[in-house]
Amino acid sequence: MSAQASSWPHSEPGPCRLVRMVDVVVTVTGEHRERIEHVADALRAAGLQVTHVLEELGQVTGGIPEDRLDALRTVVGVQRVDRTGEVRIAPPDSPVQ
Amino acid sequence: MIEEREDRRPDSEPTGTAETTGRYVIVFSDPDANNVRMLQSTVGVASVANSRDFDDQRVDPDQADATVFAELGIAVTTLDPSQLGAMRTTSEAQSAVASISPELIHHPLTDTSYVAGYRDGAADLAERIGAAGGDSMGSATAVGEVGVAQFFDTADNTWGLAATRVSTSPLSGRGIKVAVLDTGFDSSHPDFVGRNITTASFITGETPQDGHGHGTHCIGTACGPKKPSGTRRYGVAYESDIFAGKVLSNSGSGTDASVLAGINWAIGQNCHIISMSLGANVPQAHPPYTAAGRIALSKGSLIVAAAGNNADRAARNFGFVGAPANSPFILAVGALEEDLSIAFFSARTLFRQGGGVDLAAPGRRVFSSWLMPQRYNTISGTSMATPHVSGIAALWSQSTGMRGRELWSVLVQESDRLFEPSVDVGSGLVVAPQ
Repeated sequence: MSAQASSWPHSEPGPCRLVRMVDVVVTVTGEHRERIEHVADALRAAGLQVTHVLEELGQVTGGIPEDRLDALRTVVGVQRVDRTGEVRIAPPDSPVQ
Repeated sequence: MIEEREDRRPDSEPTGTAETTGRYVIVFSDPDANNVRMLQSTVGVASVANSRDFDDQRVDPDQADATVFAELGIAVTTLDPSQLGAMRTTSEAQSAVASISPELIHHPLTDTSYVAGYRDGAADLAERIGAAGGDSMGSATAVGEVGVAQFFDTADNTWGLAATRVSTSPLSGRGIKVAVLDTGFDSSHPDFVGRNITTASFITGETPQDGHGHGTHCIGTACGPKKPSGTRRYGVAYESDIFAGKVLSNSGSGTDASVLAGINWAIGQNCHIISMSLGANVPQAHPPYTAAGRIALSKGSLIVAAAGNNADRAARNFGFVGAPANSPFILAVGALEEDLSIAFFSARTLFRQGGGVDLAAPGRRVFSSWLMPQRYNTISGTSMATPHVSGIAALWSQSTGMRGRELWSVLVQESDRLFEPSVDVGSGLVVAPQ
């Protein structure tokens, strides 16, 4: 599996404006897990650049302009939207990892 | 075979004289067999009451000579010498009965010396956990002197495999799928020739091949071979099926998205255990991991994660369990030193729902596989403790057939209790089935 990188910053057509992209994970409601691809399509229509559709977990990850986050939460089938962050480990020569 | 229970406590334990009634408590081999008839005809007990003959099974156990508690498959009975003889010598009784024990008398615990003991124990604990300014580095161990290393690497096994009794376990993890979500795996490592290994990368632009070492080290601990050529055994589940998911880049960073994608993949592959030696120092559970953990358990995948290395106990900083280990439904692992005290860097329980340390495992100076050509490395961390639990979980899953929540229960129940606070070690040292 490979991930699509989200672009940052992202400029919109029309009046020149820079919008910050944020990475999110959308958790789908129990009833909608069976039709997660439909929910993913609706999320794309709402502006989400989908990176993963995780069928076992009922989650969709991707990037979206920050000002469209609230709209994402209103898409049918969405239980919650959380920002995703970084995880990391120490460098290989570190004694404690 | 009838086992007569004796007091088997070691000499160092306090002993007391138990008061008995003179009757016997019998545990039957099969609760559904006709144990009432066996007592009457084989043993010769005159009157036998069966709890099922009473409304709501409210039977008075002092009326008949013997009372059978039908739901439990247990009876309380008087036995005269000839009846006791029949119990011990007839083949029918021998096969029907699992154990005979003397019936004990119980009292409420009102002895006041217990309270003084509690006070002394609380003062000792306060000192240990640093609340009263005590030194938290020198802790008592289960066996042996304070602060003296009890376990060490030998020519045959790492100290961690000896401490967790993996070295004496007859199990191999055969048939059990173990996923390790990390920096990937060095597929050229000679110690893993012939193993079933499935790999996948969730890092854009990088293959599953490990370019850091951490992933190969963790896979080594969880799943390494029984007899690696030229060195000691360092791995637990040596016949398990390995699923190496790269969710951290070769430089050691990843995102929640890559980790969740890895978890999703491992569940889709029907992995029994998902080992994650990674995290973020955030002092709250991240809801997507809570959701993922709940689903994983419901689908029979146990997620095991590192508690974190953000403590500096010498400086009285006890750290806290970060994400994803601090989510409910994800088992959090702390690290132990060679004397089974808590490691100086091992994160303490985060005091929120799900934020507890659940188990502890060897995490100091852990020898395991590394990138070629270096081949091996010895490093420390809750990252190293975590795959000890994952590999041992594979052994327990093989042994009991259990998965998910039941497997979590078995690991916790079977752990060795330690003289360390539960906020640091959970229920204690994980141990392998014997």
